[in-house]
Amino acid sequence: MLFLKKTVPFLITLGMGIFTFMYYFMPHKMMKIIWEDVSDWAIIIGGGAMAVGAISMIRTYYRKSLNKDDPNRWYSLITLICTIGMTLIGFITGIGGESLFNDLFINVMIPLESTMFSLLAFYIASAAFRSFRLKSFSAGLLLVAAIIVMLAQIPLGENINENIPAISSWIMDCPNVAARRAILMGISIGSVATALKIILGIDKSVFSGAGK
Amino acid sequence: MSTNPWIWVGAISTIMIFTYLWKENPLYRLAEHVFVGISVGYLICVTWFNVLHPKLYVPLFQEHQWVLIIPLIMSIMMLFRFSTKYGWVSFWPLAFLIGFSGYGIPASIDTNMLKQLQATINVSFSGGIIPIITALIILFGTLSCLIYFYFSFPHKGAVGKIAKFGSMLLMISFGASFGYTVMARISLLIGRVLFLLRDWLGVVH
Repeated sequence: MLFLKKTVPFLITLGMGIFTFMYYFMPHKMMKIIWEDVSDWAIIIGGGAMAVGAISMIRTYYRKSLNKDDPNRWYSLITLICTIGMTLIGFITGIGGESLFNDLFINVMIPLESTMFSLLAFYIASAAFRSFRLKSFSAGLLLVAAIIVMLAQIPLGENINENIPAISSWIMDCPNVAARRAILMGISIGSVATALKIILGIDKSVFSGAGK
Repeated sequence: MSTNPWIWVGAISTIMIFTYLWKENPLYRLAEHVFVGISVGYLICVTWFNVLHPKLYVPLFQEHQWVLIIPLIMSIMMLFRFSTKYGWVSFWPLAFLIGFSGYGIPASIDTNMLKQLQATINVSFSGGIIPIITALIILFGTLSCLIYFYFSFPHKGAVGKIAKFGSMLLMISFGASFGYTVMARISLLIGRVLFLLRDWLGVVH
């Protein structure tokens, strides 16, 4: 049983890892055909993973909505109704441009989403007041860079000083590029190390947590 | 004021979310849960219509490409995730997906490491004093930022000074990113306020 639980997943990961690694260096016609099929399979399996997420979410909210001790259970019920309602509407009317599904997406989901993200403007501003206190030279650099970049985005910036847009561009193209490159290299080293650990079976923690 | 019922729905949804600025209240929580619910419903439908229907249902059940039974079975195996006893069955399709990260190894080394190194080394030292200073900052700035992230030896003496310069560049970069994020959120806020004043109330043209 250990073979099925541990060894087979490891062999599948290793095999897929080696194949996809090789494909990067050998975009041969045969490899390409296999790659396209395998990519489609991965997308389909990703759809299955999406189903797992949806079922898990529905189970959680169903349990919450049945819990009579929870005063917020009605909200869970509303989430469930909206999920099932939107899904049914999508399957009945389709998801095309003229459908009720699309109307709900444009007139309910997009306003809710963009308003929720726009709220962050207030909280980012209040966080800035706390974090931008000029406590050190480094904090000062952060403050100055942020102010210049913000001012450069609005007409007021150019009215204060006509060089502000040019300074902002220089910040984005010079110190920002240097820092971003170092961060990207660090991320690359970290992601390669993590991927190798998983593919070579050193880190098996990804194959756990079932049955929850 | 608009007579379009959808505009009213959008406006009421917007105001319900904005009530959070006062404090967390039932209207906000209602809008929040509606958002979660319809987002999941939206994702389910989009996954079916854009992924599973064209890539699985039509080729398998209408064009009889029987080989697609394999990913279908693997998708079903994913659902064993909920079983305590047979949860390990879901590891097989998961392993298939994780194995795809193999492609990311050379891609990441090429794009995020070698290409970045190449661009840093090949920086141009011509065109006047400012481009030369810019090129020097990019070259030594990248190096000093990397040294700042390197903890195998203590940041003292010359190394400490280089690391300090790296941290200063990182601070400027974070400040610039912060400025961009703030402005993106502000433009979203302007968009929502404009929607309320122009599309809903009609007081702005």
